[in-house]
Amino acid sequence: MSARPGAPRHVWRMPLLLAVVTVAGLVAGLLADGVWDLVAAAALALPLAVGLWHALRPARSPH
Amino acid sequence: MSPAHLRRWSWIHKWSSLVCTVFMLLLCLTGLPLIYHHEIGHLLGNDIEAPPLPAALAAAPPRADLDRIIAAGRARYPDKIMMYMSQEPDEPALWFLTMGSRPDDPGFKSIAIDARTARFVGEPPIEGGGFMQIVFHLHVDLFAGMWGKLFLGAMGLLLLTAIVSGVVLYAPFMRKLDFGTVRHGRTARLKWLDLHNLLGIATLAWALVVGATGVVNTLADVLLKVWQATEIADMTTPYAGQALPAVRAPVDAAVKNAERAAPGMRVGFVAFPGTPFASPHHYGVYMHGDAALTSRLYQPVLVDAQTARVTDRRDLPWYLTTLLLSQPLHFGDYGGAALKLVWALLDLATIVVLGSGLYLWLRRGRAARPVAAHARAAAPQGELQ
Repeated sequence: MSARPGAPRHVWRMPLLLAVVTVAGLVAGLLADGVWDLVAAAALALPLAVGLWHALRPARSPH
Repeated sequence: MSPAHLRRWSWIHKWSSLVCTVFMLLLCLTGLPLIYHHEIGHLLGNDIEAPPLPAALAAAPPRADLDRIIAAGRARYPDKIMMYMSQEPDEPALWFLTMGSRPDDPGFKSIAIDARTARFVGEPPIEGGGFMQIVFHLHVDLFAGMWGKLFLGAMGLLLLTAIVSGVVLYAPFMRKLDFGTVRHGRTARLKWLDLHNLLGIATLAWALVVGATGVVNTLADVLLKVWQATEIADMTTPYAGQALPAVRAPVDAAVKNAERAAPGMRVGFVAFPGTPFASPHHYGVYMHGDAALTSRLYQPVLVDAQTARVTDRRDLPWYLTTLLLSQPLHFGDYGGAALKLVWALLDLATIVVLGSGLYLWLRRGRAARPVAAHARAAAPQGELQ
């Protein structure tokens, strides 16, 4: 995270990335079959994986 | 963001969520089995499967005359009339007949006939039958028909409002925090606030798409009525004053002519004269393609019910195309087993977001402090002023 805390880029970079990947996955699955169905599932799984990883990782020392 | 703005968005987020949360929890819970309705139907033994053909025929399966297929249905229900006949894209060996006592009979019967031999195969339970039928209605219309759908559509609009206001509130909450920060070890409420923000923002695009397409789906009945009142009425105008055809042309001839008019496409379903998808003087033959996208989109071919001649062929209006494209994006049924699993997990994540939101409200403190106070606590002094 190189962006300065408090800057819009700092807040929105990851949410925006996940949203773009989600929409790309939704559209890819709709437009094409076969391997694209797996691409779509993987793309939609990314926000879940990121959310779970942050939710479940052990608490760091209090700061 | 000024404190006044923050208070306003907090108010919008709180009330739009509170009003719709109970219904959204219901929709998430009932949506879960609906994602797997095929598999559940299979487990319950409700699947209709075409019997295997003798080896000699299996290499090049015959295609039974459609009027013989209809006759097989009539033999079971002599006092009912044909409403629709349809084929699933992945099961060309079966025709599903919908028969009722009138063209818009809500108490219709569904009868599966072998598409190759015109023999009766079985009667699939309507809407999955039993448990699944209850789940289906709880999800779609709360057993209240068109008005139930529209009510759920209004709740869906509130959900979209809650999502958008949640996104607006996300920035002031997260200004001082890295993405994904979950503050364990302080209060449980703070931890759940962080989890609510994290899962909410991570699943944002999916929730928006499923929410918005769900709202579009609740408009299905209304859009169909608009279509009937405009385009179907328009197609029927040349027949004004004419008596309804006393003897109808064979369905087989009507469908073959429709297939010739739409080369490369196959029949999805046939609507019989008088049903909402046809005119009183036409068969409505709905053709679709077989690619990922084109299999979702129907091209109606109107066939004169007396002469079996194709009289009209038009594209669906934009609002019905929108409706048809909204269905897969809401159901998640277009990308195989992997996509279904992810869809179910995203549904569960949404339940966590809804549940944690409710918890945050219940534990808001005795003085019912506005959410803004927490945002201010999370942000450096003065930044929100």
